[in-house]
Amino acid sequence: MKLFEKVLQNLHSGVLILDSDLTISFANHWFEYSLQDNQIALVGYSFLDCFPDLKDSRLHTAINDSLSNNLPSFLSPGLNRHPLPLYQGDNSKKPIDQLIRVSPILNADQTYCMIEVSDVSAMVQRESVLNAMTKKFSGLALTDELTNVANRRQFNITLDKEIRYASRDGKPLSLIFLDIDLFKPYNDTLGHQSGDLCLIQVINALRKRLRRGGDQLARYGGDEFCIILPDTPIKSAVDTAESLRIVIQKLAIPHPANDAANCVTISIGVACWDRTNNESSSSLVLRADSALYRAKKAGRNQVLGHAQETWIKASSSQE
Amino acid sequence: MTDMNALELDALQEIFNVGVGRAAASLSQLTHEAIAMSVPVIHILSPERAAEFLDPYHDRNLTCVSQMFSGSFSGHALLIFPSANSLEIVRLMLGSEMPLEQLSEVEQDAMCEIGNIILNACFSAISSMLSERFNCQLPVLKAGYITDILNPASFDKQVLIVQIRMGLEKHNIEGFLGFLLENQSQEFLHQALKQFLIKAET
Repeated sequence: MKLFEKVLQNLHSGVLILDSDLTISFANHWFEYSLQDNQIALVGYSFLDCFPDLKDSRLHTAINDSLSNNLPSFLSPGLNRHPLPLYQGDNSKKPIDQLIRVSPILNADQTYCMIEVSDVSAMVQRESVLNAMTKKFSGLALTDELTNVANRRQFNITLDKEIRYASRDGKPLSLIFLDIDLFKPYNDTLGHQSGDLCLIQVINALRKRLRRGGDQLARYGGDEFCIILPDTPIKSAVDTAESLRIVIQKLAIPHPANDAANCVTISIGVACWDRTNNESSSSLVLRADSALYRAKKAGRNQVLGHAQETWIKASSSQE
Repeated sequence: MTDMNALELDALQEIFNVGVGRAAASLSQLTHEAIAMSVPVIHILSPERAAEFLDPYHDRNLTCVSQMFSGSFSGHALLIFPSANSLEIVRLMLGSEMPLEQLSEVEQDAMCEIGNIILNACFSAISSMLSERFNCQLPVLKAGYITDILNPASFDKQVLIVQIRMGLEKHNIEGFLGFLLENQSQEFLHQALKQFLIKAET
């Protein structure tokens, strides 16, 4: 018996044994040492007097469950932030992340409750580092390097998600596709560095104009950008597109190869998700893209929308 | 258990309803989120039918928290969620945004605890209503296909399946409780239910 007690004393994890009226009948060295105030006497005292903050806590419930219902409990560090006031090392203010197992033990007709505490601080720490890194890398993998907006991969993920939400919540969803008119000649005459600068200016102007938090701007590729507009019917999406077209024209970025306007302009195609056919994301993208193509064919620097088999133009083409 | 009548099945459903109701209350308290559980639906099936019911094509990844119990009835109690659902539950409860497709270590422990809370609540409802006492083991987490979790070939008794729905933050997540009862335990459970109904009548 003495040997087993010594073994428990020497464990590198905490052991606390309570009897049926919650009096502490045993606490091992590790447990006593890890308490912030390790002068406190435990054995012979009530668990709730030693740890008054734990009254009605999950640990308290688990202890009662083991003593009255004979049921063991498992307390995870994720759902229970530092349940016991245990700290790492001498005078350390760093709380220990704990994994706690509470089990009933029957001995000579008496039920006891064993609380076993493992220090999982290293695991929790490792995982938070891993979590932060994964977030950083997935952020990098989903952002366009030049313009800092979402890239095509992120766009595909977001569009699928928004279609699910629109379908679930019964709300309209619109998609804008736009590109810069005669961008290749712009690059050819002014050089690729100017082209990059032009893209950044256009993107920043679009971003400034899109004030609603839910609207999501992404670079689809080259000089083609798209905007997902949740909870937006085709009519107001076309109006938004028209205002974006005007904003870009008003930037008045010189474009020597654009004979029509002499400055950088954009063409825009808009499509609204087709609920009745539970349209796929690729079909919606295709319709928005072909609306853009038509807007270009019709002379550029204009907006064309498509919904329910009809083409929609911006209502007031005020410059 | 095939010969359980409608009244007895209703009683069993009532017992599990009390259990999952308590579990929902404990989970809400733990996560400070409103968590609701719908009235459970009971099925008693052969092992093959149970496996088919839980995953018709045997191709889904499932997460399972199991606890062994012994006493008047002995066997295994399982809480089974499709792995995608378990990810959703744990992340909603932890409020974490891990981009990984799998449960991390901290999340696995949290899942184990969620399972433990739900199973314990059912055990205590069964034991108090049927006046039976169990010895229980700590929960164990397992992931895999239905054939890894519930091997129909190795088990010839019927399986008690309890279908539950957990509602949190507007999400409705379906899971299952499975009770694999050994040897005489099914008969004992049936007897205990009869006793419970007699007591309820008087």
